[in-house]
Amino acid sequence: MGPTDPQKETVQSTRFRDSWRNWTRITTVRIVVQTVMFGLFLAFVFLTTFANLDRFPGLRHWLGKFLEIDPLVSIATAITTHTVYKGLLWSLIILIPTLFLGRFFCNWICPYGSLHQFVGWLFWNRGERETIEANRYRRSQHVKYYVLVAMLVAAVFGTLQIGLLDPLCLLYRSMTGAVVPALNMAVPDLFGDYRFHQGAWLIGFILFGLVAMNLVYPRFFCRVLCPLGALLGILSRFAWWRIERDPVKCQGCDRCRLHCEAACDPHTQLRKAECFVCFNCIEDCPEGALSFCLFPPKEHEVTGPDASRRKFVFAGITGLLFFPFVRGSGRSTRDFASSGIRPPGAVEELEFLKRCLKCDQCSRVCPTNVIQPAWFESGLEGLWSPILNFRMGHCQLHCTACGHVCPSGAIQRISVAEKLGLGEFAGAGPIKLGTAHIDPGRCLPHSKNIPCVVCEEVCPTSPKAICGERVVRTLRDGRQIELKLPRVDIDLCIGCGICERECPVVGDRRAVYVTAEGETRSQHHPHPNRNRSVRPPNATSLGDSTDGPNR
Amino acid sequence: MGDERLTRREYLARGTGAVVAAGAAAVGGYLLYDPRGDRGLPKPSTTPVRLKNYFADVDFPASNPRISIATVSSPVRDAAGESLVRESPGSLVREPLLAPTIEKLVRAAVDGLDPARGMTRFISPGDAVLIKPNVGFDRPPHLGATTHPEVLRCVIRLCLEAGARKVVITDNPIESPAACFTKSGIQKVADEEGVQVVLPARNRFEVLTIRDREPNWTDGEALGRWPIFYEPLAEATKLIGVAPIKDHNLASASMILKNWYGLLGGRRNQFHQAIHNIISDLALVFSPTLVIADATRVMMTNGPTGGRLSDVKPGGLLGRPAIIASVDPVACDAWCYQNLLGRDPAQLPYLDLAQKKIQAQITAGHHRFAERDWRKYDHQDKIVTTSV
Amino acid sequence: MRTFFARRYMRRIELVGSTEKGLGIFVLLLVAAVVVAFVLQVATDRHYLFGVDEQAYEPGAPEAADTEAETARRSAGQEENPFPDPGLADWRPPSRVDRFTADNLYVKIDGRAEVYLQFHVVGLTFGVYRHEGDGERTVDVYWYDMGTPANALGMYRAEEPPDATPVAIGHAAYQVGGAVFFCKGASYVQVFPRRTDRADAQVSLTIAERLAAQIEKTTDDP
Repeated sequence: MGPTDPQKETVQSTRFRDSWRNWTRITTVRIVVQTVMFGLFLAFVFLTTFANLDRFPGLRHWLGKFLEIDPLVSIATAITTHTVYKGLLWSLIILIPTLFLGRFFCNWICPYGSLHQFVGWLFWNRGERETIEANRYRRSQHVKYYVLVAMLVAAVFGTLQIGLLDPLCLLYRSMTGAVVPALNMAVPDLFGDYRFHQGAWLIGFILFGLVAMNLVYPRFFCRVLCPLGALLGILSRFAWWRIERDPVKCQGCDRCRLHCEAACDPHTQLRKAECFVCFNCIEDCPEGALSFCLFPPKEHEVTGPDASRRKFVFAGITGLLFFPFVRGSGRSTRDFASSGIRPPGAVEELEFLKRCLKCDQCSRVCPTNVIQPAWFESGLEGLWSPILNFRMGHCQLHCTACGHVCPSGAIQRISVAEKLGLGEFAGAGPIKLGTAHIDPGRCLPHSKNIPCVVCEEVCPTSPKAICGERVVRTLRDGRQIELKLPRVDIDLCIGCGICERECPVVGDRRAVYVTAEGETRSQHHPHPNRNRSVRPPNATSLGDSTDGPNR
Repeated sequence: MGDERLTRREYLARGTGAVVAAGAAAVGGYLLYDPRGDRGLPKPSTTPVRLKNYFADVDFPASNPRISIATVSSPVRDAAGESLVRESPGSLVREPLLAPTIEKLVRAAVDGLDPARGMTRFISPGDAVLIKPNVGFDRPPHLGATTHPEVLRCVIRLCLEAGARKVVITDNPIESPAACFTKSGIQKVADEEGVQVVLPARNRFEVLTIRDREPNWTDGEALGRWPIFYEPLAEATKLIGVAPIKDHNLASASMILKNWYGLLGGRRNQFHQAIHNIISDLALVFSPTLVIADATRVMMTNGPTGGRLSDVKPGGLLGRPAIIASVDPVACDAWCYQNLLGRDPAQLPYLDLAQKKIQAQITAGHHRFAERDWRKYDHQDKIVTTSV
Repeated sequence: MRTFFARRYMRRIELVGSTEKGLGIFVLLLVAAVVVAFVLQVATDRHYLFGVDEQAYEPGAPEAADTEAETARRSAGQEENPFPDPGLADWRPPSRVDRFTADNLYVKIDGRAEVYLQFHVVGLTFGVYRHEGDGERTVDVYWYDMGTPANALGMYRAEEPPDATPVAIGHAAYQVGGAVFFCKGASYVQVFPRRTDRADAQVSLTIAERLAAQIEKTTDDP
């Protein structure tokens, strides 16, 4: 059954003598590649800051590279938007080799896969027999195909939900929302200032939970939940190469399953849609019966996902019903939340929901920490999509970083001139995120007779969108005080939120606050449900030049 | 690896799947590629769609009157001396005496514009006529918030008599359309006369180009490109507006020009921020065949919604029910403002703005006769009154 | 964490074939190339993302503040100013002329620079004609030096819409929405009035005609 002692001796005796040759084993190469890829991923995440983008503009092509090469992202956005946005064409680099080689992405490139593998390798401490059993193919591995179908069917209707479970989106989001802020708290000098992210607890615990599953179910996420893995598995059916077992040499010892990452049953008919091409089985076979073979016989494999067709249909129906049930709640259209303010350069809301991957790259790069992952401001569809919370920060005037890192074009790549309505964009005017409103009941000058006007001071537009109206009031003790009462000119306000950020009346209802009405991204939309403007397009304050006569 | 060796044919058969899929992926990626990032975004159509001029085909002599008023010669009273103009409150059934009076008024008003040919001057055989009444509120007709259904009935009949092949009624109220059309009595009249009512639906709106550029608010402009309730307008060859005369809390009066507001789509509630800009722009957008002002009961206060019988007066300051027909909507509004509501047209900003905009169109040759300034009309030949 | 170094390699080292070794080395080189590409691109790409040139902040009205310096500049630089006087009442030629080369063209016209670069643009001279009384009435002139007449004509054709009304200026010209586009010699010129009414459209035509005449004086026509 197992290896004989002399063989073990041979292995051990050759191990140190020919150690340099070990590096050319394909598994060692694979480990090196995984390490480099994971290192690159970490580098990209840590380099995603406004300061770096400012100094090294070349970074914008690389920071989201893992998202750009993700075929699920490009295919799903191609379904919702009927285009392949800019850098997403790079996904062909993964897609086309997968058609020939199989699911190599999952164990060679995917940083999330590498993370799962590493954690499993660290903490899995069960014996050989149990491990071999745990790596047997299980029916629960069908679930990822149903997840994929449901998400793609929903995408047909124009709601992009792949970001919830896509490994790269999930990992980028978790790094942004939970891991890097945790590091910030631990070592602020190395990783920068405190950053807060709404709902970080959920994002962090989801990551932790999924990774912790490796203690009981090896590569749980990759085998059971990953929709990208499911997609690559479906594409693997045409692959020219796969792991092939020689039934003559094979003694049925099952050792090939000892380190099998994908639970693809190399000991019998290999499940082509599951195999991660990790090559561990080739290394483990004492008889040398496994090899990576070109056009091996079809009888020795299970080509497709082997999931129930009826359950596929059910999954499709789930995806189909998702759209009307969620869109019908109205939260993304007529019943929109005033707090649902999107970043500058964002496209109109329903178009946004077709594109947003919930990767939170925008949140990561934002210099002021104002971009936050949403809860349900835009309905269930908008979970973890970016919204601006002006208590956390404000939209920095000369910054357009979020658009430069968005891989799918939910936030367009705009220039600063376009954002501020300068130069050739002077006719179109600045991009407004929303409108500021004074709450006179909480405002210090308005209702407490205390001079303030910080909001006017920090307002960055020229002329200022907040101006002061001078009044003289009498205090309790009879003294007179001259106050400047702040007033917002909504035609000039760009909704940058620095007034709300700097308002001394802190608390979740500040004396001046920004709402989503008046945003320019939807102001030309003909449909009233999707148009969030308050003023007609091109309106300017008229004074009372055309008011009618009083009766 | 087994002993079997694959033949070249089998290699090809096994291999083509991946090659074809790879080719399809590459071709698909190339075709859908969006390098600048704006290809996938919805864009406004570049070919401007403009509303046609519904008066252009009318061979209206310049010497004919522009405004024709028809009133009853004496108040209609019953044996006890009570005015019969008031319908019983809450009644949706037409008064037996009132309906014939209204019919006489409408016919007289239209005939006043062209005694020889009457409505046939405006409507030719085979025309598709769109009648736009005011059905903005779910109020019964006697409260004066909507067009009187009997007035509408007579206009429909006149069109059908003139040979129109199709008559359509439409409006796009803020309130529930079904409720408004029923409560105001318009739906019943349409059903009885056998004409179609077109209610607004999402796909019946189209973004029209009124100006090729953004509007200049300080110059009194309001519209550039804007969604309009276009479907019924597109297939009509003639357009008739039938509007009640009402007081309005913001614009001062809601008359013929304000009646077109109902055909606006999109976020039209924003235009109340500069109401005179939009009303004067409506005069620019809509060039109707004929307009009829319904002065059977005029809402003197509390407009545009009203709500009490005491708000309305038959014929306004005239004291007797009247119908005014006109080929010049701005002039009609000015006349009604002065003679029915008793206010000074010089104090109504949108009249002047509308006149300037129309003047620009006249200079450009869009209107049949050059002289179209209501301030220059005098009673002798341009404004006629008939008694029935 | 069981046997780390010894858990693998049940397969004897001799069984690692040369194909496998070769493939392994190839993949390692590929990955190294990716890392090198990353480092190189970050080090060399200097296209500044968050800039906006000072001219963009210039308001529409003529600068009233520095009239003395401006007059001096105007009289001194009259020979250098390539923009001709339009000869119209109340209209002044540009007092300030901006010049761009192919390398910094994007600073002025952003992403549109790429198309011009494809046609081997040499430079751009930009100026704004102003109406003396009304600060809102301006005409922007983009005068591109395309190097050769063939490139100028190519660029002209690339932007020409199919239903444009031709105008008789230079080698080929059209006017659409008040703006005038023409090519003459190695120059491709765009004249954009801020207001698109008939008066300013006429002004644009006049400016374009004058400019075309000016080009004839300074360059040789093919």
